[in-house]
Amino acid sequence: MEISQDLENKADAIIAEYPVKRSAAMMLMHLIQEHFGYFDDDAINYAAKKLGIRPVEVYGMLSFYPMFSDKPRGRIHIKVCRTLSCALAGSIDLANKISELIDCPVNDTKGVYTLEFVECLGNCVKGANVQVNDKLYDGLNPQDAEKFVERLKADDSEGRLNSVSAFERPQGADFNSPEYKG
Amino acid sequence: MAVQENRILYRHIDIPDWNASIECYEADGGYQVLKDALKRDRQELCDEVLKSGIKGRGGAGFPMGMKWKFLDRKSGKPIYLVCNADESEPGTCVDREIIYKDPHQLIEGIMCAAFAINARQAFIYIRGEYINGYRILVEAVKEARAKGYVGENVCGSGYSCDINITRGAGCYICGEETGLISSLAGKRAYPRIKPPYFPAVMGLYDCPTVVNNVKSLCYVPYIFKIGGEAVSKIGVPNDPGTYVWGVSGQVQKPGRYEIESGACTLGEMLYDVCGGPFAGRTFKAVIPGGSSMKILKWGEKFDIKQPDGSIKELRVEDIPLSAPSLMSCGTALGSAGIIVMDNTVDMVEAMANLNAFYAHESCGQCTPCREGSLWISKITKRICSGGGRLEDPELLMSLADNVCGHTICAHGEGMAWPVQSNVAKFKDEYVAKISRQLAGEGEARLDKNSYRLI
Repeated sequence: MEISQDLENKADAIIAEYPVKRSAAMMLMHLIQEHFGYFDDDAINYAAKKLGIRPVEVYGMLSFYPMFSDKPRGRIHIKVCRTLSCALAGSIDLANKISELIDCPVNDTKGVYTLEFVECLGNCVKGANVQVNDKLYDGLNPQDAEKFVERLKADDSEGRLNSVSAFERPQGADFNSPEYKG
Repeated sequence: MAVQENRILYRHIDIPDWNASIECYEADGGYQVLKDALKRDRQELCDEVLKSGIKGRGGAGFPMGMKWKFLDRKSGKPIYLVCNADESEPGTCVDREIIYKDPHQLIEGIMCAAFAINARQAFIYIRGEYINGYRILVEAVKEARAKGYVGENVCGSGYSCDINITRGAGCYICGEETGLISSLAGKRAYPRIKPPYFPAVMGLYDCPTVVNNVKSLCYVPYIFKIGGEAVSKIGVPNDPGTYVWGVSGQVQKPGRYEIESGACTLGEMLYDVCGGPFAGRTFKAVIPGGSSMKILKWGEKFDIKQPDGSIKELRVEDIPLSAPSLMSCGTALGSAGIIVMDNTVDMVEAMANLNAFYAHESCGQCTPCREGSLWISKITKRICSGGGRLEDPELLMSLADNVCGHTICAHGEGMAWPVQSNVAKFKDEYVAKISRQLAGEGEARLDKNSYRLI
């Protein structure tokens, strides 16, 4: 696995922000996952080396935090909130319909898609919520599944779902626009 | 009487021409409180917070001034301030608005609090799902640093404190303050046992640490501005201030409403503010303070002891929305996230939904919670898929009773309280559902047209 100078620099900058090196683990793991897509042994070893801890300790974090993954995931990562407020708005039926429409089983990866149930997305008053990459779609219900998938495909073909690093401000982003307030 | 909102923390949210930039915040007098506070005595500032009587807004409701007071200032170790922006209690989503739409209010709050407790490094731990929230905060801290409100020599006062922003990665338990501290230290978010790990004494890096919720920290500049005593007079005396209620679930107008504590009843909130139930339906149950709090059954009545010793009957819709009154009705205000369920909801399914959440989110350290949450979740799932047994309600009760009080952190109670209250108050529904299943009716859902909850 090749480590670019750019990644090295970013990793060092993150570590320098913390009074204790190991404290950078969460942010460093986000960085590494964004870079490699998921954690394979090389990525785990790299994180361990940077943090000065054993690889098994990085693996301990990886297996604990749901947002870190040891498997490659689809380019379009769909997270459907399954917790009560969203479920009352039909999120469980919604996920099953999305699954049929994009031909990807729930909690699995197929083609460009990863579709999974997640716990509370923190926007309960506007259920049902679905997060796709860094974009939040709210106020959905199962009857809208087809419309939602169409919108998703349109957003994808127009580049709005392009995976952008969370560490960067998306180009041309207006944080005051409704798109970023959802 | 119509219910009035009193927007203190939400004063900027969704007002015309407001944006998240520092210029906009400054034009409204932003950071003036910080400038003034930097000239004041630290002890005096902490006393103002103590005098205000404001309870922590995260869920546990511990008075903020007391939390600060317990801080070990004699150890010689650095003091850290941590802002808990890991908002992940189901039904709770009000910090999100502040982070996304008024980030400088939070940053001013953090700097005011950091100065008062003499912290030289502050952290914001924001949940991983709030990706744009993270970007917005990074931008806002950058702006504030450029203007001298954050970093070296804040506003020329000689006081220095920087803010670091760390993202979580999808774990509910990171919202528990000692779990958050473990995560921030670069470990699994295992909560730590108190004693000895009281954050005020042995927090982050085993140094004295204050962990406060977003809303609590946003209250700090307001307290410094109008004084602790004035804040203590807002709302009811033993629970001052406003709460931003997040109402979700089956009501006409779900939303976020900031109302003084005790200024409206549960019924006024649900009917007058939120527009009542959907057409043709009736309310059935309400979880008043995030999913970990005990459920209230619509139609329930409580015997409340009055100051003169007499007993007065209180209907569920007449409960004033404040911490003490919810407490007297056997539940708690928690994180002020109200989840409303109407007559179409199968309570066993609703319970199974929450049980799956708690089983997924148990950190796994304590056996009663790790095994208990999964066992409880499996039982309710089994009932929902048609395999109920008549002894299940008792079994659920006994499991929940055996988790409560036997775990390091409050996740045990947070998981057990909903089970205990749900099974006790809706036992008839459990029995009816299971009896129908035993009679060969399959899943025997309460309303086969309603959305599945599990």
